[in-house]
Amino acid sequence: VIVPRGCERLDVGISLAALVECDPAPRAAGFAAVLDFMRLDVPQSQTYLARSFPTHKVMSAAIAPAPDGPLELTLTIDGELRQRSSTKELIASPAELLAAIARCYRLRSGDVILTGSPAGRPADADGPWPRAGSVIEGRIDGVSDVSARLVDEVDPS
Amino acid sequence: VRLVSFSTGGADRAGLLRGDRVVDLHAADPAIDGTLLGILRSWGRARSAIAALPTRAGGGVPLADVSLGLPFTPPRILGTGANYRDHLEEMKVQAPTVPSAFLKLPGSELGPDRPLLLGGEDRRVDYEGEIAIVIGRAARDVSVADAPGCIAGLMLANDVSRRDCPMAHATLAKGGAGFCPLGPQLVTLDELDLADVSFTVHVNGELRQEAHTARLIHPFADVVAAYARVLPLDAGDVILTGTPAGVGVGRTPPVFLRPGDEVVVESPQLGRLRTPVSSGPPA
Repeated sequence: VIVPRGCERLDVGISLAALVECDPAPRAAGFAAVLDFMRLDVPQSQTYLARSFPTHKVMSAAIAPAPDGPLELTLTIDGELRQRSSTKELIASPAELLAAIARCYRLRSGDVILTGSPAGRPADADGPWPRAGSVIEGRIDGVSDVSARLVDEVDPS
Repeated sequence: VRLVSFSTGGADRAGLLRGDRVVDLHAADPAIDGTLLGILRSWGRARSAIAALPTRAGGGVPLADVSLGLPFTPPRILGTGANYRDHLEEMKVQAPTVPSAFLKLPGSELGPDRPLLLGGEDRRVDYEGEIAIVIGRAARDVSVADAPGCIAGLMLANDVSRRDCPMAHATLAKGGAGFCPLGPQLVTLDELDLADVSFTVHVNGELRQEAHTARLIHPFADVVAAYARVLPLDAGDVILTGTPAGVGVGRTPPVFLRPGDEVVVESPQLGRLRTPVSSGPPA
């Protein structure tokens, strides 16, 4: 995962990702764990750019079918526990998110919906911020682990 | 030069517009890629090769004998909103201090003359005529002065938007299948003065929008430089640059697109982008 040049505040959170299957109707057919990185040194009106830097969505290699009950989510940065929560804290369930999105957009099989991140991200405590060399480890019990190591952006020239 | 993607029945091929004729670029010089996206990804070399093509009379095929398609499928379509003061007044929003950014979702691109499918009678679907910047060279941390060097050229665009969705769902409301007509020409920078490009939008022949790039709050070079400060831009990326006043939702009473309507974005510099409107679900 690349730390953008000049970015002193790179936020990260663990998010449950719903994998959409649309045959016959949109549903969350599977789940993955995603590390969701975001630049916080960018104006709010450019949030789509701030969330779209290359490498900033890290999805677990493994996916899991729909779980029976609540799932525990954890995130550590350099071994220090930063997030510990449960999908029972979700305000809108994956099924409710799918339904809300489907009212304004025709979902397609293979679309992925990040369902949000719980308390404890670096942004919530104004740091400490991950930087080059940091190791981020996320885990959603019953779904998957996902991890990433940070590197500095290399000047292409 | 003016680049198009054209077909005479088979697959789309990259072409060079010369008056009322189209030259097949790959056939004219096998070193030039056969697709516009391939040409953009090798823009430095391709522009020289295109400029070096012999200009003999009678080359190519008559424009009347081909159909022009979507110039290319952009890897990314970004857009800045609120970039003409008169549109801000009509939408009752403040002028931004930095160029805002949104996304047009994958699958929203639509070729010229292809039908825009409304996907339901209850949907309030609106047009927004715009100019699209086409990136021709990787851009990261470029100055405003250097930004034009990263732009290959401009196209016409229509930032189709649903007005019946919550503001929090703006990306979904703008991201529907076919909600981003583009083209038909990619006009390269050597033919243009970025501060002197204009366009109009007509719906069923009635003038609805008029714009001139001299009235932009954030000129094109500012938008490219601002975006490239946050993330790397790549060849083929497209940036929509905002719409002027005159959208359907800004009228009294508001009017929205209906099956059978025809939206035409037209520019003396960039050509004519026509989109017929049809009912039915998005494909």
